[in-house]
Amino acid sequence: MELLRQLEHSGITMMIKQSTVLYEIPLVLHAVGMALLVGFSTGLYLRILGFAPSLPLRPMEQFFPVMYAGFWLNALSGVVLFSLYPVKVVTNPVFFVKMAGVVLAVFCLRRIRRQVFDNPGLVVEPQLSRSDRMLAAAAMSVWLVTVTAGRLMAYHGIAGVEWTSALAVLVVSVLLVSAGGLTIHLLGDRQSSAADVHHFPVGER
Amino acid sequence: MFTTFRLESANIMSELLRYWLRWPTLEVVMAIPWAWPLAETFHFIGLCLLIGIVGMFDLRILGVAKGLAIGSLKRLLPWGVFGFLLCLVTGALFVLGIGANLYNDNAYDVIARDEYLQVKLVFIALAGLNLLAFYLTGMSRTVDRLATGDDAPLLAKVIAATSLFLWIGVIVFGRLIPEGL
Repeated sequence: MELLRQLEHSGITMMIKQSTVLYEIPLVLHAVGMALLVGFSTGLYLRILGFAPSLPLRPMEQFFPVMYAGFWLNALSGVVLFSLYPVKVVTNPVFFVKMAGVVLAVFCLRRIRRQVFDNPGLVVEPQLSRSDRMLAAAAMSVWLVTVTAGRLMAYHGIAGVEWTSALAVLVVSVLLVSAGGLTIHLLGDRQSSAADVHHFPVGER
Repeated sequence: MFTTFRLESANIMSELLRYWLRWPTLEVVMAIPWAWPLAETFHFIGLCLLIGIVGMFDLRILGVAKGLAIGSLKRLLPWGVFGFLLCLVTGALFVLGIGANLYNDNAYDVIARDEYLQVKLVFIALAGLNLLAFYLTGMSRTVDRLATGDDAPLLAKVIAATSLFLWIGVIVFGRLIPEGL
């Protein structure tokens, strides 16, 4: 803790904090990195979950470098942002929720890559198993928790507002997912998806 | 006398806009302690969806993951539109409900004052025009017909690169908008 306190007041961190531009660079990069990592992986997960079933999966592997670029952008900018207020950050429980979320989400991403794409014997489209879909759904949920935690870190110390906000995010998410599910059901998208599945089999492995 | 008239009409215009852009009900809603962070979180989720899906689409046109036929990639686009709508709704809550965050502040004054917000709004408008160009130049139909492995025409690539630049710019300038506006 003493070390963190020293870091918080060291020459370089003070310089970054006092300069608007130097502080804004990691802040902006952190948002862009999030969009690349969370956004592109979510696109892949939506496909694995059965949306746009006519979209071939194998070429989507080429989007992994974009996701990894987003990850490293955020790891680096995250370290800089952390070093500016380390004491404030490590005394905030929400930070540990976010870090656990990042570790879990990256674990899910790597596992999905192994499970779905790393199959040298397979030249045709990878077949999706139930476990692939479960993993994609889990990874998307973990991203929701992680992004929420990241945003709520800014509200630390304001009388429990993090927890009421987190609950509000959960409630709205459940409402949105239910409304989306109902809409898809009513529009009968399942039938048209089934027609696509006929050409590009997406079945149990 | 003509100058006075012009000044007065400008005043009336800004007063009118100030009146229209003030939504007291929204201010009450946004004053709930969890309302602001809730809207912020969904603004972030929306931008991830928008950049993720639109980014995949733009990169494919630029030549990444050519194994994807663009016509089938389009099936994911509604998710990008959904992300944009999330950002639009929550963004409107921030601007129109600003009175909840800064007492007695007004959306008109915020838009007139904050340069980052202005640049961001201009970038969004340009992204809209860029999308319009994508359809009007016939590029949308052209890329729809591209099969697996086909290269997109140069004009489509220019539009895709512009789209990527503008949307990343929207995030950058959006993040630069100060909390206090």
